[in-house]
Amino acid sequence: MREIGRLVLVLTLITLIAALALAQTNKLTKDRIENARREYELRAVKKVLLIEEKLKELNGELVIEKKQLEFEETKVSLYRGRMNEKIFGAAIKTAGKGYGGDIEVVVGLNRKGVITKIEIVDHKETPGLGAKITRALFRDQFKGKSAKNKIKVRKDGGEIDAISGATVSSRGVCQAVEKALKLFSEEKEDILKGSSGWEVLERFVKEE
Amino acid sequence: MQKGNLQKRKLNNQKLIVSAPPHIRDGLTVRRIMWEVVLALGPTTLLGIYIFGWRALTIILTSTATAILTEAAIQKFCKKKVAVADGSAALTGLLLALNLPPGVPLWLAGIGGAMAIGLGKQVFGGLGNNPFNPALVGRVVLLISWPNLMTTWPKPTPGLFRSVDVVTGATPLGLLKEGAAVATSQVSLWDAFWGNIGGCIGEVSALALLIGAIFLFWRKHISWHIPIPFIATVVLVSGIFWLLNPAKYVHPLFHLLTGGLILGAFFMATDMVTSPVTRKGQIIFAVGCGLITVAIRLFSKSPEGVSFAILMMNGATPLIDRWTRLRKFGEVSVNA
Amino acid sequence: MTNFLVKGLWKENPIFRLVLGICPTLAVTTQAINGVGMGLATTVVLVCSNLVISALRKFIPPRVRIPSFIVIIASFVSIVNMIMEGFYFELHKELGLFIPLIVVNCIILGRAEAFASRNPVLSSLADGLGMGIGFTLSLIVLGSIREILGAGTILGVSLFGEGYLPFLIMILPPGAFISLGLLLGLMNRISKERSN
Repeated sequence: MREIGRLVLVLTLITLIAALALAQTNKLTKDRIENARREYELRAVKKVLLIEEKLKELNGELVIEKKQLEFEETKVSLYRGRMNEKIFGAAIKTAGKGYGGDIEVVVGLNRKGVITKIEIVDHKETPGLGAKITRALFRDQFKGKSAKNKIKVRKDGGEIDAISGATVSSRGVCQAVEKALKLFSEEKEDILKGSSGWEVLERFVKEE
Repeated sequence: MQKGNLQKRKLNNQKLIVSAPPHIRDGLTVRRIMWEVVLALGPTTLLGIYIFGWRALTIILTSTATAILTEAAIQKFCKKKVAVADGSAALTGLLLALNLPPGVPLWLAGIGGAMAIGLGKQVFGGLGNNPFNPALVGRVVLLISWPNLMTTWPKPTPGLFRSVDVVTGATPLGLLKEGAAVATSQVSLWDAFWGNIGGCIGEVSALALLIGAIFLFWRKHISWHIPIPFIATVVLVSGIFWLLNPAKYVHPLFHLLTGGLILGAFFMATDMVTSPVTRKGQIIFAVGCGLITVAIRLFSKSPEGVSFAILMMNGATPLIDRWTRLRKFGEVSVNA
Repeated sequence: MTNFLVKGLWKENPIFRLVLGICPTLAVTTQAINGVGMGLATTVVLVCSNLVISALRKFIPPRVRIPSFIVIIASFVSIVNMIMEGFYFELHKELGLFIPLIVVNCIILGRAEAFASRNPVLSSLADGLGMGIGFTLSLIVLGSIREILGAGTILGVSLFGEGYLPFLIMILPPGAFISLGLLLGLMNRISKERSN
């Protein structure tokens, strides 16, 4: 009986100390982790919204906002940039099916629904082959395209040059971009004018 | 087909039960079998060179030479007897070359030959110990590493030793991925039978391969138990899909005559070291190869599946051997 | 003491001699830098857990030693995980999946059970450090081989120029098994010749 008591005591003490140490570390790192995650997510969004260029001409307030919604049974993140109360562009994070899994793409659009830039945030494509979808040479093809264009690889009758030997990966990106364009046209009202459900992610203020 | 054939024949005649490979073999006989198989590949090899030009010849020579050199180097390094004269390395190198597209750079053929012998055979202890067909190991390593080069197909330009302006074409099975109608409108079955289609050096002509296969049957180096069920399964299953939906799936003859099916079924699936010992086991093995081939050809992103099918069934061979091991007369299961 | 430190490098190298911790080894060695990150993270956990377990070795009754070790190791892994995500987010994104797996890395529980629970604190510290460095170096060697052949780069720097067509299979999963197997064979041969 005494031995069992000792076993319980020792284990309890060890777990207690472990819990305390974990709680302390969590407290110390929680904010940093959250910041890092948000920073990472925002980085691609900022790139496709061309925030750097906008900041140069900024006079007043620039806000990046986010909204989440369901689209074709998947969760999609919508972002938009607002300068002095006027929406200047949107960024939509969608995914397409690649060779090694989902390819996550952030598509930047201006008010008219023309693509400004796309960024690949996450993918599991073959290094050195399908992974070439992250190269600017491939991504830049999407610039200036809109819902009027055929966002498909040439093999499928579209206007996008696939990476040679990586048709499936290229197709995956096209699929994600098409989805983003479709979402934009469906949610255009809300993106350009809506106000409910949008949360502010980052705010820049500059006055001359 | 490749190794240990003699033992098997003898044992079958005496109605003995054979354990799973490897078996001890008589070097001289292995040597004769190997060179006869090389001879059987003669028509295909010559036709491949005729169709695809001198480039094909240099690929065959490079692959065969590196395979032999790698074998000798590793045997030397491991302080074993250098036994390249048995012809098994040369055969592996030749089979690998016949499984390469005719436009690949020579360094690729060289790496392939080295990988086939190094990773496919010597790493397991050499002749008779390899679980997988060495030539196919070489091919798959290349296919995974350089998918671009391994899926670029020059158009066939028959005529001996002409210069090759590489015009890229597509293989019939590659066209199939774009739809059954595209493929059948561009490929005639006669061309596929004679060899006037895109593909690997040694897989294009069904006729040349069949001549070699008949020679092997005549010399009793292969039996029907692997090649026939393999091909029959592919034809039957692809035929069923074709009957169900002829607009989407292609005629089974198309599957029979294009790609590496005939080469694989007669010359690679039949490798004695890497296929089951008993006849029942061989039939199971062959049907498995056929099913996997059709599954890959019809439903995967890759157009051709013969090599992967054979490799997978190579992996299952020890298991099949255990299932199909013949019982000794009166033997009682230990658990009973 | 130096003996405890050095044995992890070759004689009892966790990967190549003891063949422990193979799961993270195969998974993360696609490039050299991953080996550095994973190796150092494991070393930190290993040193800390060896230290604490050795200090508590007389206090922990044998019957509950395994659960105690696991709690201690898991706590250190979680701490390393949180600190890494907070301070080295990029590296964490690359290795994130494998950091929690350090808990079940046989090297750590193995050293706790075989060494730290039987030896004084300083020796355990040396043992943990030596094993950790041995693990890290092995990961870097394996990662470098795979990165050089499979991507034509080392630590992200291109080696052979644009024209190099990488030996892709080496950075794909089969390449992990192939290169580890060949290195194991080579090491066995070297040590066999040494002992002769």
